[in-house]
Amino acid sequence: MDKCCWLFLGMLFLSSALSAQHRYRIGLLPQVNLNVKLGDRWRLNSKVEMRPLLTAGRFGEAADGWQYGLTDLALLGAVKLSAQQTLSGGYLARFVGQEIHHRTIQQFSLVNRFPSFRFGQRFAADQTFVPDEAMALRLRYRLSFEFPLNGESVDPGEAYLKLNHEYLNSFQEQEYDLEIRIAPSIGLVFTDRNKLETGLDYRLDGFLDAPGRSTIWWSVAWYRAW
Amino acid sequence: MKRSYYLLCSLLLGPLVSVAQDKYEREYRVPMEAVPVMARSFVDSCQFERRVRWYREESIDGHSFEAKVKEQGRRYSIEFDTLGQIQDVELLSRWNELPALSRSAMEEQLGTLFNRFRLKRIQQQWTGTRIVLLQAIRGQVAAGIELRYELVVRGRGTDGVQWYEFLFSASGQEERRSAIVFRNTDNLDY
Repeated sequence: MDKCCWLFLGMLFLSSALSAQHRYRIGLLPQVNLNVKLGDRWRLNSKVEMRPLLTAGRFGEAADGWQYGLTDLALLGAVKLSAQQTLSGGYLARFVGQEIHHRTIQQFSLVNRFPSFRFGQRFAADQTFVPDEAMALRLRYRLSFEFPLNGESVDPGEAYLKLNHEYLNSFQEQEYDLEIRIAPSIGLVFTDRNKLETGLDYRLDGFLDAPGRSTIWWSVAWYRAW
Repeated sequence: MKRSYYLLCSLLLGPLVSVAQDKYEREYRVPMEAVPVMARSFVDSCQFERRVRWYREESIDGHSFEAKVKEQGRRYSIEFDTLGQIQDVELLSRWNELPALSRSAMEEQLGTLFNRFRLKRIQQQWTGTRIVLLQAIRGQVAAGIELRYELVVRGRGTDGVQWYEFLFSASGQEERRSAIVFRNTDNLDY
């Protein structure tokens, strides 16, 4: 039964992804993530992320070439509820062409450490405000696994493998969409507060009642904390 | 398949939170060939059925080698110096496996330090001669063993919540206490 279930999901995914009407995007996802400690429990997190698209189109049709996607600037205030739990909230400005989209964000994250890996969970909600459109609400859940590539913990100078898996539920007026993300990446720890990650970020959306869209980003993220 | 469900559930819901210490140390896996012969021969004598993983630990106190193995559901960690001389054996334990008198002495001490506390990891620490430790690992009665308890505790005091690693004597007297600082979690939070 379990095998059948996985097989069914796999077939559903493949049939969606390989459909001739299936849309795709391939691009770069550079990100700078800066964190500043404000006192014992409070933090300030800022993020700059760009999305230049290398190519986009539908399978079986001529593809579009390079185009500027968007730039995100985010600022979140965070409070450490405990060593593993963080509650954050803030604002993100998205620059798309001449428009600015506004987004408010609330999230709760939890990181557990097991003998040979770290496991993170993030529960998030965001509300996006775009001119002349109804507010879009998203409810997100992300699982993250971080495996050291040497030893049982990631020490300075060592590398790690990180796997993110996220479900995003979007609600806008009467419409609902589900986006699924899988992002494997390799990280390098220079110091505990200075890390670089690079990998692939695969996103599948719009597949519930349409051929759907696949997006593959090559992500490069720099995490720096003070 | 049931096992994978349990694993998933324990990952998602389990309060099984262990910690990373404030390490001025680096631990990395090493091949068995890099380990001193004396350490290897001790572990061979233990006759573990499961695979033994070897690590080298570098800290400001010096270097050491550590053998880790899970045998019959028990997680052993055996530490050696760079010459291969055994330093100690640590065994992951359950609270109710410890003697009642030791437990109550430790609880009393923790109660004086914290308004509320929770035990996150309990390890027995054995020190002694090579022969005595070997007998203890094999499950034989080892009279000359020196027993201590290493506890990781999440405690709520007047300054809020903090994690500590305690070392208690066999009778439950505190011998050492060190605060635990967690590794940065930014790349898992954002």
